[in-house]
Amino acid sequence: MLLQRYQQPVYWHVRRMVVAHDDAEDAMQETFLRVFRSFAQYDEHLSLAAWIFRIATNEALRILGKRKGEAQVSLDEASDDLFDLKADDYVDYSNAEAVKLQKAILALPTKQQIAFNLRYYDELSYEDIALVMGSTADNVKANYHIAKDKIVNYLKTND
Amino acid sequence: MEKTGKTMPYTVPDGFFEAMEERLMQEMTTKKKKSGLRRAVLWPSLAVAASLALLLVLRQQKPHTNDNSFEQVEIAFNQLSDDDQQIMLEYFDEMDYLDN
Repeated sequence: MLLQRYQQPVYWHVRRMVVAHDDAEDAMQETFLRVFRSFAQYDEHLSLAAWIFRIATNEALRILGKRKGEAQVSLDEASDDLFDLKADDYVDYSNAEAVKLQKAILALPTKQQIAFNLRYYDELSYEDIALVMGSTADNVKANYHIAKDKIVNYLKTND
Repeated sequence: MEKTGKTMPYTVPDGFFEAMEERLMQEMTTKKKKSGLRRAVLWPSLAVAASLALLLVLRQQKPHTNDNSFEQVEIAFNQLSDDDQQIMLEYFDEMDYLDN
């Protein structure tokens, strides 16, 4: 079933973007309501995962935009303090390595964050990520590698 | 990065995914029921309007005969606007659904 298959991947994807559990919950709920409402419009020639992740990404960007008083955060937006790993009841701060990795990811521009997360955690193909981001596979690949280099540098300098 | 792998520091409340699944299913069922009710109230009037349009087209085609064969209905249907065609199809789908 679609909900069982995609519930957790969608939740973790939006959670990595919005950080706070409550916001991720809102984004996930709205994502699935949109998926069910517009399922008739889904083009079955496209990847279902890419379509669902695209809706989820837009929801997460909308929530991030709301925090800044904008309709939606642009993919080209540079990261700022708003997106930093802030206090939340559902973050295990004792896991220092994992916290550091998330901080490194959150320090990236939005486009690189999404490319990195969808490739590294969700193992989507570059083609599917390109569909999610409305970009090209080559562009996504470039963003992923730039993001990875930046993360490695961040982890080295913050050791 | 190798040290951490895909481990994340994020956690969720106990039973969160199960509760969310239930909530979403409930929400979807409620929305479906509401939309079904709206369609049941609105569609008959839209279908009547579309049927009148179909009749008008049929009368224009063959003013001197009442022999509306399936072929004529099909030709008349094809002359309706896309919106009217859609209303007719959805209405008959809905009737089919209610009959079963």
